[in-house]
Amino acid sequence: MPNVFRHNELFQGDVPPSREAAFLRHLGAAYHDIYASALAIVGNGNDADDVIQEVCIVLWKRYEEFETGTNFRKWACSIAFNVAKAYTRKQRRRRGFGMGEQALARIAQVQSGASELLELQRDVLLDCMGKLPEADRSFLLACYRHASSLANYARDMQMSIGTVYSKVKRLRRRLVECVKRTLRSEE
Amino acid sequence: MDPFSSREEEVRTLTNSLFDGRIDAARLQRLESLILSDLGCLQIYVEQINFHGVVSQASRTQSPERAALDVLQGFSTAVRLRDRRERWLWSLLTAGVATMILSVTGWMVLHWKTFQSAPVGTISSLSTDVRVGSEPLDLGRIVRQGERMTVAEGVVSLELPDVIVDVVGPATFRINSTREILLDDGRLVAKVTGGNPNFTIRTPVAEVVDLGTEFLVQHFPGTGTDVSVRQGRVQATLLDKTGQPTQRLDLTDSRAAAFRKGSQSAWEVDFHSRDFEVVDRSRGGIRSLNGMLRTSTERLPSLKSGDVLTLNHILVMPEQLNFTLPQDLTVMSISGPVHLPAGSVVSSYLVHYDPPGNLSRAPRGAVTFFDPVVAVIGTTTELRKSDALLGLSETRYETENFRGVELAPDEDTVQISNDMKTVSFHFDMSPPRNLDEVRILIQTAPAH
Repeated sequence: MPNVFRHNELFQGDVPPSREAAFLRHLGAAYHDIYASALAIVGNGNDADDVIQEVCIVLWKRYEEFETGTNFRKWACSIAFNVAKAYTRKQRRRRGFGMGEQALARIAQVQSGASELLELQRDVLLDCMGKLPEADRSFLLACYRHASSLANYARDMQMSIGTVYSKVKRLRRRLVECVKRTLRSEE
Repeated sequence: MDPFSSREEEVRTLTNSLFDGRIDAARLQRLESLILSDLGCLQIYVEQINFHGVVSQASRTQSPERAALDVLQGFSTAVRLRDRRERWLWSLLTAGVATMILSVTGWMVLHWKTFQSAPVGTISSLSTDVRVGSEPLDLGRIVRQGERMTVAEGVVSLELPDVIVDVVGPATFRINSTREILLDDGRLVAKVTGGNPNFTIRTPVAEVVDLGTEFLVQHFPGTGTDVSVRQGRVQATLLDKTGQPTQRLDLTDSRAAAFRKGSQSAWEVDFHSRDFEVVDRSRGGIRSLNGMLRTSTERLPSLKSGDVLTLNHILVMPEQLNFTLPQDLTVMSISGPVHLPAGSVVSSYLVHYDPPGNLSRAPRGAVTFFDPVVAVIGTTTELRKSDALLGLSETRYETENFRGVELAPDEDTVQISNDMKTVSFHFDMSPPRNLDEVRILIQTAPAH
């Protein structure tokens, strides 16, 4: 029996909660962490977008193994690490370089062990982004949105790619400083 | 004091390069060796890569649940296709479909013009400082259904059926139809001028339905959506993570509301008329521009000769808007004397053309207003006389005699259309002082 995901059922309010709906609820609630886990391993934003699709497919295929009442986030993140590691290995063979197994294992270990701190940093970072001048914030978000074709975006904005990168670098640094300052003051 | 140690700085820089896809083998090796040799560096790597994850997620206008759903919807299709692929018939079918798609695509490419989306409106006004994406924007350019546009700077106005939409850069939006715009990021002001009921602006957080009005919607992915109604009434609805309505607010004159995604809440906030200022300053009551006319988003401190050069355009600037005359006013228009009784509500617009001396050809253009033109003041004396009442107090105007236009068939021409709503210009140059100005007076219906 093919494991078909009938997403249309999610939009029909009068049917009993389906397995698909339960899965989606779990996935939506843990999506940020799953994405972060995959990104920590692959390191590159575009690769992370590819990996997250594969992760979701694996999660759904193995959803039967998930025991209701246990921690979906933890279960899903461990799968995300494994899928991302497999992807990184493949990329390493293709490109001829990439992080080794030992480094990937340590990253996964710290990423999963520091989830509370990372969540706190995420909240503070979002606050800091809210404090950026409107134009800077819009620019930064647009650069992330167009990360896969930043050169085209720079051309559209009639800026050199170098100018875009240096402006992004400055904004990133300002945000990191803001996060550090805020966390220090909260200690 | 620099808050970053050199090693921390190095790890963050290398991590940024990795995230951006700009790292080479040597630098990746260096990052790996730092991570393996120093737990602090490993911690910094994880923090910095999470930083990118957060900003990256914030940059997408969809909620995590929506993102997950999109992935799964794509996945659902992928799984179905994979199952079918196991059947031998699938190969045959794929080949057939592929051939058909290729043929149809080829045919569509050959007849591309026919397949472009339907036109829904035009670009009706541009400010001088406008910067947009890759597609150049000209006045009168057709905008099409489904078109996505980015305005990096300045104000671009679109005329859709019975709606004028002013886009204040930076902004990104998509024109879904003549009746709906999807605002991803930035600020829009919509003025519904006639029978386009339920004109809607959607953001990822809210849906704002017009019920006959002028209103502003701004959306920033990091914060949420704000709606302000200057006149009339809108129905603004908070949307949940799946785009379903959860809370509805009816907003009327001079009321505003905030819609927040994170807290899934909507509430009324103070109305600030200054939010509309950039559009008033730029367009005021102008319906559309043609030819080489442009608006300005700035209040200009001086319009004396040589202070604001217009290289290849004519500038038109709103001055007094909806101003009630305190006493009777008689002005000498280009077509004769015009008397306006005290209590009349008028708006004034200054048209300014001051090219550098080396231009070979003077531009032409026209401006169309919502309300009728009652006078076009073109002589230096009349311009000077009307500066105090109808000009801007913070702007210095030229006082020398060359300021007005020299109306003659071979020199400057200014014409008013039969319906009294459009004024067209062709300014000739009279070196060494090229400045030409006219002031247009519009009579506005008094507010009830």
